[in-house]
Order: sequence, then C-alpha cells, then structure tokens
Amino acid sequence: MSISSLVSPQVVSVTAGMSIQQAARWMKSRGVGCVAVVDGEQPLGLVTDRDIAIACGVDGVSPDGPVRTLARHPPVTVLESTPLPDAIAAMARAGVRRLMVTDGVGRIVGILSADDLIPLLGEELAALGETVRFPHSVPV
Amino acid sequence: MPITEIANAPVVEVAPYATAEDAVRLMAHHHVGALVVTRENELVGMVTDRDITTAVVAEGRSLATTAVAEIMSPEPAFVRDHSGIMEVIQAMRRSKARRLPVVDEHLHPIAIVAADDLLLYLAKEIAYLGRAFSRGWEVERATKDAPG
Repeated sequence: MSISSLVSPQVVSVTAGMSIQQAARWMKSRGVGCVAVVDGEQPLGLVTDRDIAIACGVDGVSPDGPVRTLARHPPVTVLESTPLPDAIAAMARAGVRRLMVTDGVGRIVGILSADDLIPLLGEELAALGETVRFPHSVPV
Repeated sequence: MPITEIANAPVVEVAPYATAEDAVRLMAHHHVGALVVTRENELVGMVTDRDITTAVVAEGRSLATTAVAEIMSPEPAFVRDHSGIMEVIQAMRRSKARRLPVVDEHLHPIAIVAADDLLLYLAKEIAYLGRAFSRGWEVERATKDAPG
C-alpha cells in the first residue's frame, strides 16, 4: 500500500515571506498545528505551533520576522509512491510525526500525518480482532 | 494497570499569575507541551504550547505581559490516578483533549497522560503478542522436527 491515498490534500501552506504572527493566525483560523512553508511550489519545511511558541517565548525571535526562518531544513519529504511502512520508518528516523509528500518533480502534494495513520491501523486491528474472535466461522 | 504507570510526561506546574513567557520556558526546559495550572496545589487549568501560539502570538499580544490565567483552559477535564486505559480514552474523547491531568483524591495533579503514552503502551502490547505468536511456531518446529 502506497501512501498516496492517505495523504491529506488540504495542505495548509504559507509563503516564505509571511510573518510568524501571520502563520500563527493561519494555524488558529484553520484549526491546524502545522503549516508547510513553500517558496513557489517548492517545499522549504514544516513549522508547528510548538516551533512558534518556543521561538518567540524562549529564543527571542520576533513574531514580525519571516516564518521561513523557522522551517526545519532540510524538509523531511517522501514521494507519494512510497510504501506506508517506509513512510512510517522515515518518520521514526527523523523523529517527526508529519512528512511532506512530493510528486516526481519535487512539488508538494500533501502532508502525511501520524495522526491520520492511527485510525487506519486501529480499524485494521479491530477487523483482525473480530476475525480471531470467531476463528471457526471464518472460511479458509 | 493504573494510568500513572503509563503516563510518561513529567507533570510541570505553573501559577495562573505567571506570564506566557514563563510558561513556554518551562515547556521548553521540561520538553513538555502542556503545563498544569495550580492554585494552592489544586488544579485550576491547563495551558499548552498551542495556546501560546494561537492566543498570544497570533493575536499580537506580548508574551512578557500576558498572564497564564488569560490563555489557559479553565476547569480542565481530568482523570483519577486509579483510572484504567479505557476510562482515560473515553475521557479524552469526551473532552476532545489529547492530554489529561491525572489527579489524586485532593485534586492535586500527579501526572499528565497523553494520547502518545497510550499509543506506545498499546503498541508494546501488540508487539509482545506478535512475538508470542512467532515464538509459538518456532517452538513447534523445534519440537516436531527434533530427531528421535
């Protein structure tokens, strides 16, 4: 199973020149905890609500500064054709719970979030639970 | 399994009159995303890193002068220290919160349980179950195929 069907196509992206405060407003109004910072169609990296809180509250970064300075470089990206286990492994390696998903020419097509995978795995596990609960009624 | 044995994050307290800057410094120092707000040892609110971003930075307010009491979620949902996993999951669903304070009989917060903690715990159980299945086949092969 590739990740293409699991990618959230509604990417909340902000442009590299947008201010940190504006990006925070976007996150608030769209109810998301993470935005993709893009330069044209090229992904620069993801910025989370926590990144903004720590930058402004601890590191002394001005909310008027450009949000691109908070984008994590290099962005952790996977191709949309990546198999799901490989994408999960990429999250584990990088210690992130969201990946930018790109097409063959490096354009961002969506974000794969660990949060979206848990209900999917939960459904599969629940279906397996039903199967093993009544083993003799399952046709071989 | 009491929930206090599954909750991994340290419980970090902050006073309602502390500033948003104090709060976020505590979050960074302790590597947590949420603080419990207490008054005289009693739970009165929760404040998260997201609150800092959406209620302070997004609104153009100053972190140095905004009080935690102004941005916290007051009277947060909580679970008791003897709560079980299902009880905690149901409380999270009801309150739409991914993190809940765990309190003792005096309403004093003694832990924070996060959805991440539950996921890790369940994943470990499933991994052990998978190992048990695979070990079962190994044992059968070893005994049935053994010579004599």
